[in-house]
Amino acid sequence: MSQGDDVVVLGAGLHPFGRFPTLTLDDLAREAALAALSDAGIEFRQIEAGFLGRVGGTGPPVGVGMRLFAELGQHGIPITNIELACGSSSRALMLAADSIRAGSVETAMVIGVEKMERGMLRVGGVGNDNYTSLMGLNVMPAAYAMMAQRHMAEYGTKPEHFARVSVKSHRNAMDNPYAQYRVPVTLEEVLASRMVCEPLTLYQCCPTSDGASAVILCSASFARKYTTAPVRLRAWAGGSPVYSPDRPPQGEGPTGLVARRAYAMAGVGPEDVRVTQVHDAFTPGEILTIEELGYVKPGEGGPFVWEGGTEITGRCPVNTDGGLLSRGHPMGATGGAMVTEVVRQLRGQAGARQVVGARVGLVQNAGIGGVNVLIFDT
Amino acid sequence: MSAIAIRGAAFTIPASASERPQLRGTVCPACGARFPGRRAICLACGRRGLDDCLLSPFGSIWTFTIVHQKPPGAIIEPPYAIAQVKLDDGPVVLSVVTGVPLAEVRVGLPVEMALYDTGREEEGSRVYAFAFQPRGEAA
Repeated sequence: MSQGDDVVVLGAGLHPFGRFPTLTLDDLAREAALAALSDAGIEFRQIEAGFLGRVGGTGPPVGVGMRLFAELGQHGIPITNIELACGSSSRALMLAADSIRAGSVETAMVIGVEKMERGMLRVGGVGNDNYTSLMGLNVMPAAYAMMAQRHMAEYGTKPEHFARVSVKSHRNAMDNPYAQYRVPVTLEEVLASRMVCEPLTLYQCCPTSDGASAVILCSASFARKYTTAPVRLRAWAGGSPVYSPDRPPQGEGPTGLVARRAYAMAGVGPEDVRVTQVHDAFTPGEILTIEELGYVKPGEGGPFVWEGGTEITGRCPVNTDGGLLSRGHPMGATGGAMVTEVVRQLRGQAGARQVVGARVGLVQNAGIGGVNVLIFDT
Repeated sequence: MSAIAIRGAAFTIPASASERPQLRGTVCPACGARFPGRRAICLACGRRGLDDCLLSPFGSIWTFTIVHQKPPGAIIEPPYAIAQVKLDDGPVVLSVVTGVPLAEVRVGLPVEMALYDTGREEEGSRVYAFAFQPRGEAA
């Protein structure tokens, strides 16, 4: 069962991820948007709805979407700001896809953008003088480190398995001109880098970043005027934590549950997916997520990664562009960047990162418990 | 000096050392599910209107990590252990682990709640947080 009429990804583009202290949000968003328009082969006045994914680091908090889209043109389209922490722009994309599938609009542009402060994320906000802040409990890498420790205790996963994710991500990013870190690291260097939250060392933590992504969606009939080989958004599903009296919520939301819904809607299974982008804000993100997506059985994620199963040449290539770890993680821009990479892969435009025979791709993007899974094909 | 609980956490601070501190929580009068802190609606059965209760001071470590980098705003100095503790009566709470060498913190370790002296004073009262320590240690 598919979700009604086809939704096509007509164009995608990025502003490089990294640190750009002299550039504004407007600069980052404009460059990504113009790249996506150029990729799609259409003009901004053909866009019928705009969605902005952004969390809000530095810069103005209110109505940013209105301002950023106005940079591109003013022809009266509805603009919507979407915030789902690190999953903001993939959720914005899902809402844009809903609008197209419903027939409300023929085209929509999703911009994801962020400028971030350096250093550890202030999860609890600044000046939040309560026990979780004062006692040092609001620590993003600790959340992933605790997932890792539980996995290690349940399945015997080793610190080296997690470290291996970082080695692979860094290598993939070397072939991605938009990536923040384009330097190789060895397993020994990853393990010897400064300990942050055991077992996670510094090189197993994504950086904070500036960057932007833009994705243009349209109806299948609109797409026919511009491409003969469309990449389709086949299915999309989102979720939030499910209460269980027996088990604290693991991972960043119920990825397994959401993925099963998306597979059913797309009419594919995990065995059909040839290229995947997952939310590896920290290295456990890759190992736990490939289990939840059904690529391997629970507990087999560590050895699978260790043996190269998620390499570009492996059975399940994951984070072919370097992932959050190496491409970078400007929070609001990340979902759109994941989609951009899958589109490049499915079109056969990924150059040295190309996965051979990629026909079905999957994006898993999460933000503080909210998780999105999107499936694409060509 | 009188003692108060740190902002954002709710627990009893006994006057005598022979009594145990306990976390405050809520319990569903319909299905018995228990939750840390205040909740208005039961997550298990949807019942509206939960009762206040005290949670079990005993539990075991569900998972943990040793934090080596001081997060912004923290008063605790790294390295320190934090853990998700599954209390014997159900709820899971997050706090620091004390009274045990960091290398001995592990999944499954039986623990009990303890007071944690923050060293801070507010309006003439000593501010306490809570922690977990290996079960059976003196409070």
